[in-house]
Amino acid sequence: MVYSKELAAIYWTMKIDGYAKFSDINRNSKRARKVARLLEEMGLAQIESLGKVKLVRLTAKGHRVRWRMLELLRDISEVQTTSNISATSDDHLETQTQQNFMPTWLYGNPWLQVIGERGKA
Amino acid sequence: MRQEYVEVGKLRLSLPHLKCLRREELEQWVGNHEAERLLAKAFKHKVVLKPIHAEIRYGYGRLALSPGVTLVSGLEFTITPPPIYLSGDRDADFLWNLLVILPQRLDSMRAPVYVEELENRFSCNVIEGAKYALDVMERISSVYKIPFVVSGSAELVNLWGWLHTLIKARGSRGEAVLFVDGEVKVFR
Repeated sequence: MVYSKELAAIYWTMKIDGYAKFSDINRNSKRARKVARLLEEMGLAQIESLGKVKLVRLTAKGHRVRWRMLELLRDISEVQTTSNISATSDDHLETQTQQNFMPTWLYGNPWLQVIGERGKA
Repeated sequence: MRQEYVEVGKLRLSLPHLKCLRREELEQWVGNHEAERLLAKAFKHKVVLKPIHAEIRYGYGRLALSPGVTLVSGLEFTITPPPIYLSGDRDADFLWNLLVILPQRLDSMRAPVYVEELENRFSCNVIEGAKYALDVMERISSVYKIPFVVSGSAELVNLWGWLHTLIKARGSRGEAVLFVDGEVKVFR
């Protein structure tokens, strides 16, 4: 199939919310590595090491693709059922794309602001 | 080894220390433009350090630790080599100690780090604080190649992607059950 690689990449981009461990992508480590390499080749994600743990982190391009796909899915579901993805999850995605690699749980974290205030020159 | 230092607002940080900081932290401290410059400098710097390994002895056995963050809950244990203790401080003081003071100590002497009772370190926004603290630990562990041992309640297990988990719990008949990385190791 034409674009089969690209479609697979989009699927996996959708599955990764910001970043994921190899084991979160797939229990089969060979398969997980293959997916991570595919995403890296396409510039959708980068592989990082945190000690022993390997993480796949979406790049700005990866976040863009994910966001657009979610928008498309929302359009489809609106047509079919008139239900839509909640506004909060949409806001949250937009935030992700703006902040690039900032994990979702860190956005709006009050302690980040506390540390920010304390470290100001 | 001679360390190169950079001025980050009112702080003077080594380059490995700078690598531990997130863009969001730097932007708040010194503004976007300066943060960008510092991040580029940190990115160029390669830290070559040998990993420090540690061992937890817990009565029934032992567990070797590589750099990463390990959770220990409900059992008595000792860590070798002797770790740096992060005890006492709470809230902002604790986070500041972890993010700024600890790496400065690690610049002169690297050792495993022990953080006691993580969930009791925050008087409010406990989950957010614990996650942020664990994120800081993960970054420091990755740059300085040292293991972190965190003690606290077993509920912390779902909060983070731990390198190892050692959790002692009570079974239905009151017997002690020890879980090492989710596997039952000992019945008593």
